Amino acid sequence: MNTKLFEELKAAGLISPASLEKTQFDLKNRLFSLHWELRTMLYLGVLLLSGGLGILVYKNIDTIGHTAILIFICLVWAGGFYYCSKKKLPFSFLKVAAPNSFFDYILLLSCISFIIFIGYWQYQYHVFGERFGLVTFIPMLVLFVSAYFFDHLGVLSMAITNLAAWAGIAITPLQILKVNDFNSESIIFTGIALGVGLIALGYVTRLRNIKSHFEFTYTNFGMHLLFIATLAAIFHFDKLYAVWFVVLAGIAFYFYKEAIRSKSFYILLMLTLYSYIGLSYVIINFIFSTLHADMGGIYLSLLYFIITGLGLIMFLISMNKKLKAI
Amino acid sequence: MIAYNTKWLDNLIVQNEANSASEKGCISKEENATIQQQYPVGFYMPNPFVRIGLFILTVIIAFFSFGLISLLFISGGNENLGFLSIFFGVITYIMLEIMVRSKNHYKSGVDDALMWMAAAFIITGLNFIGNLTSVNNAIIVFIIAFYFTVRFVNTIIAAVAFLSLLAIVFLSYLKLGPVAKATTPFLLMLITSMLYFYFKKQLGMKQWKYYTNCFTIIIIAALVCFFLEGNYFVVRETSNNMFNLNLKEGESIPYGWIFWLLTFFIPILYIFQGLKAKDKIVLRIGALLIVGIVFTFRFYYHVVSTEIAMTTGGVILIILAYALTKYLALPKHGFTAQLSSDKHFMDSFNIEAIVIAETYVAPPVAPTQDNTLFGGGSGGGGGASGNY
Repeated sequence: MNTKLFEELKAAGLISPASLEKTQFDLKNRLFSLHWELRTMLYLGVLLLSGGLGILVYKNIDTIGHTAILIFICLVWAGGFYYCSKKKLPFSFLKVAAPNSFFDYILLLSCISFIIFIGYWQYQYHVFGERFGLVTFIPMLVLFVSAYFFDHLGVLSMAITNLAAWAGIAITPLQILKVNDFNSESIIFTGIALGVGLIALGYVTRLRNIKSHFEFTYTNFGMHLLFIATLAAIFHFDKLYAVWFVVLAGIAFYFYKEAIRSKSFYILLMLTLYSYIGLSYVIINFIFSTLHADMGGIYLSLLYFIITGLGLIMFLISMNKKLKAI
Repeated sequence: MIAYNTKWLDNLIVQNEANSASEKGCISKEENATIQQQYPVGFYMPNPFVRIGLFILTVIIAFFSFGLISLLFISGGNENLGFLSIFFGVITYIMLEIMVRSKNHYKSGVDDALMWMAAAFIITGLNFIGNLTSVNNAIIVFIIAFYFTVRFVNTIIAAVAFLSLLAIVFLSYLKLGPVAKATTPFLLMLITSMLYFYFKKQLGMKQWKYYTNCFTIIIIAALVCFFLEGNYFVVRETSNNMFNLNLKEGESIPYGWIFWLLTFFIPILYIFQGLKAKDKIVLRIGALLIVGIVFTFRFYYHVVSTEIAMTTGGVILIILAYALTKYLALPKHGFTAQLSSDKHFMDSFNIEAIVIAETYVAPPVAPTQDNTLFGGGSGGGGGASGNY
């Protein structure tokens, strides 16, 4: 803010003298906030520490002894959880603020070390025998409970990631396309089921007002997974692609309603882009596979992209107006 | 000079200032509302997400239009394609002027995309026609980027202009011989720092009020470049590759210690200066460049193993953050650990949660033989035997 501007505004009679004084006071006494710098430092520290400990344990298994390592890691997460439950503010189904700025990170450290603990325990002592599902299921349970109990969005994201891993899918932004083999039918169907499930969870979260600030995290993961899995279905089932395209249109319509309801430009953009990919695939596929077009097909598809591009620009511009007006 | 309606640009500045003052509670909501009314802005400025969408779609349209035109008119030959590309670039530029001047687009995604496409088509076209050297390319990029910066006040293209200017200096100075080669880093650092101080001084001057963001991004680029130009890794590997020094592993460049000194000294100087002058940009870049020091050092020396370095580094960071937060629990010397009232992008979009999920390594995907909760959800697919 610059004072000169506000002086001019005052001279024009647009703000009261008291308001001018307030802006000047604010400008003079502005504090230099190191909030995000310190938070980043803390997060980086937790990440380095837990990562370093993980490797340390892995490399020194022979010399330290398994029991000693297990006890140490156990102490880290037990201590962390103890601290968090001592410090936490009373539970509520609404948003609960963290009691201090370390709380979130100590909880994070506890959760990560708990997962290392379970994994290591299973690896070394086969506590769960051949039931590998339990190795992901138990951490998932702990993560979900911690996320709700301590109100932590980061832990909730970890829990959702774990839920997906338990169902057999990698879900984080950088891995969702890299790790998953979307040519496999079971992955496609699991992805769709999981996506629908997450969206439903988000819906219930909002409807029942149970930690309603968690809704975005559920819906966001669910939306991307559902769209990507449905697109994969369109690409994969070459006989039934028209059917899957109708499914995609249905999903897009749901999110269109959702975007208007929550006034979300983000959802609007995502549904537009995903539907456009699906539509383009279907049209191009139709031109070349069904019509067996040659040179004319190339002209046709170039024209298709130009015309639909213009059409979608119109759509986005009108939607922008519509959402702003709400 | 500027393509956009400057009256509206002025009003936009007022609107933004009033909005932030209103968010802090310095001026009342009613006052803010009258200000917004008194200083109208007629630009077409959609929401950032819509902007992204419009950008992508405009790029798609431009590409496929170019494809269509070249299919219709081209009968082979690089030169023809080059001329067509330049012609198309000019048309794109005319479209841009039309969108900005008669449709009032301002940072709408459409104008951004048209600007980049015009530049890209013209530069590609020139390269198709003549065999341009890298210096010539740098000069062309600079001219176009400079023009677009002046006319469309785009921040990223301002950074491109700055970088291409440095590239011109670098590439043409190298040709002067061995002495030049040895002194390149210092010349670049000199020029970068001169530009830095120039723009720093001009920032906030009234005559450049529309260019505040452009100058800020140039300042950021200058700070990062200044570090890189003196960085041991960058200097050693660049000279090794470009001048065929054939350095063996462990061998150093002549006067390597100067660059080691600079590598360590510059980020610390930034942090110190950032805290002293309460300059957020300098401070953050300094903190970021600490990572640069660590990587440079660990690339050449392995004093301790990675895990020891990670663990101790983690502990030090946690303790440091803890101590500083405690120290700043009550504001001291104008510093605070509390969140300032300025709204922050990170708060509104829980970036943090996504970063946590991404950096968190999920346990390996387990075979799902036990048919519990989700197993049978989806008819045929779910119950299929695990294929991992």
